[in-house]
Amino acid sequence: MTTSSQQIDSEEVQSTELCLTTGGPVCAHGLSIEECQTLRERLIWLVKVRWIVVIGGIGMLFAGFLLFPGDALWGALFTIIISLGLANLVWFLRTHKSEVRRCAGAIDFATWQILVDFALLAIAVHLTGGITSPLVPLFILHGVFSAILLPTRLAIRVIILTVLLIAASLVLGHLGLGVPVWEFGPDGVAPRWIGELARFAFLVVSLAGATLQGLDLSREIRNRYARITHLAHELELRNDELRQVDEQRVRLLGTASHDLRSPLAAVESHIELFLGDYVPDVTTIQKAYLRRMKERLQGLRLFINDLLDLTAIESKGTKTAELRRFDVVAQVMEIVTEQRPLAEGLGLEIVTELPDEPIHVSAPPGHLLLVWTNLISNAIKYGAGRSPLKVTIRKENGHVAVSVQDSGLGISQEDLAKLFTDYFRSPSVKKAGIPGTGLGLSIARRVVEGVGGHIDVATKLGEGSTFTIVLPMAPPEGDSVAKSDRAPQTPADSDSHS
Amino acid sequence: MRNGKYVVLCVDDDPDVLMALRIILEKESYAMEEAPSGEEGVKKYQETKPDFILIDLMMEEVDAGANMARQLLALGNKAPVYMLSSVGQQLTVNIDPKELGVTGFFQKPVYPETLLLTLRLKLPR
Repeated sequence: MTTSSQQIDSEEVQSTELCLTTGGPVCAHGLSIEECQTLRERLIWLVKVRWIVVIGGIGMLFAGFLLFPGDALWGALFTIIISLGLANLVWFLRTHKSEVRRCAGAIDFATWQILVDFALLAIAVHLTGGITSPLVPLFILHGVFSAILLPTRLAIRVIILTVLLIAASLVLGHLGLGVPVWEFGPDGVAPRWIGELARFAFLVVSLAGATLQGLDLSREIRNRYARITHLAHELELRNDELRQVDEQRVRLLGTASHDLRSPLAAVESHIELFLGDYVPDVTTIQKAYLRRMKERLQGLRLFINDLLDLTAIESKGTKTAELRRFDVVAQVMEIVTEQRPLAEGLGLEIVTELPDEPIHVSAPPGHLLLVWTNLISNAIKYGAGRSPLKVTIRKENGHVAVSVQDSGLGISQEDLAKLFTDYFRSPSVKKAGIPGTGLGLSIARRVVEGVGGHIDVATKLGEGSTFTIVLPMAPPEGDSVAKSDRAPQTPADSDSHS
Repeated sequence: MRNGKYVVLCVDDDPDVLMALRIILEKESYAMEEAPSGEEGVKKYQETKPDFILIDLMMEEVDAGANMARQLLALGNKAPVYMLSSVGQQLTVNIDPKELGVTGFFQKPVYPETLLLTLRLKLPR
């Protein structure tokens, strides 16, 4: 039966389309909320502009009809401009409907408007001279609108459609299919100068429209850039504040750590004086009570240590804590040496299987020190006095695997699922009276995962458990950010363990 | 050495810890000097030239113990320097023992047998 810390609390984050109505940052077709809002504003503006075009078009057509009444195409052109007016009326009425407020709805709305505009413009261009029509520059203006309003793919499709429509108009004109085209000159519907004036006028309108749109766009870009700069400055200020709060928190943690642990250590030191016969005339019964007091104090100290360690790790974060390059084999062996007397006192032999050379990792040494301490002391506690307790370190494809194997109680499947949860203690362990806080493994998991490693557990009830920690090895010395080759936060040198 | 006894300088801001250390050390025939802060500790060091030094890692300031160790190193101290610390303090106080000239650490509370074993190893009689 095996499990891993990554499997236990893994959670899948499902991506969903986030739109304007959900308050998410991205809408349909990859447009942001702000872009969708801008699209809606431009569509409303486009409807207003189209009213001017419709009224102006009717006026121009009416004037043309009065000046050159003989041509049969006036009726067709009137039909086109009236159709545009009716379509605009529908769009005007739908502008404030809820579907347009949604991002996808707004894009559909824009697409329809542009397609209908293009279709009517294409017919008008075809009727008024095809490629030589004075209305041709309006295609460019619509192309600019498409590029601004629509998502890239849609805009490109619209431009391709435009080219095809102009080509179709050319082909139809040459084949003499459809309605005869409008031409200017001695044989045309109006004198040549009228045609040139019309071409000039529509060119100016298109140029002015495209320029105004371009200017509007660049002003918006400048505004957004200014806003981004302002927000970046604000963010920097907030970051500074957060950094200060974090520094204060770490300082407070240090003080709390000192103030909580020191009195306990002092009381325990005094109890030691009684138990170590530094105080005369202490009876055996008194010593038994004092030993019980010491045990309870040690339990409390253990709990405070774990709690503060957890807070320190969460406060600093393994990822942001100072990483150092150090030999993990030496560090594990320091803990083995420290814990060996305790294990031997319980009749437990610690066997080690180590590589011949140092294996370096890049991690916060103080944090990893806690991991080895927790794992080895757990193996001693839950090993039920059955030897051996085996510590193995080996290289595995650019990683180092540290295994701690006990021959003790083992872990039930039910307990295995909760093993790395804060404060979890198995009922059977509690019943057996084995001291602990239920924080050791959750601390270990946080630390190990924080440096890109993972913990695996293999266990069999009644036969023991093997905890394997796999960590990425540090890059060769020249490539790393190494500061020291030695673990700088070891609790004691080899002859000074308490 | 003073009157045939090794001098142990203990620096800690907790008078109870100092008192417990005094009882243990004096019973085992060591002379003990004490100071309640890093600053006082340096003065006491210069006055008494101890053979063994114990410094609490965290006193009035988070890095007071480390600062005192650094000053002793600058003064050319040759006596073994041991820091008193809790395991968790090593997460909040980032120190490099090599840079401070620290010989080793004792985890609080200091058990008499551990302290005496270390003293006998470092200061043979």
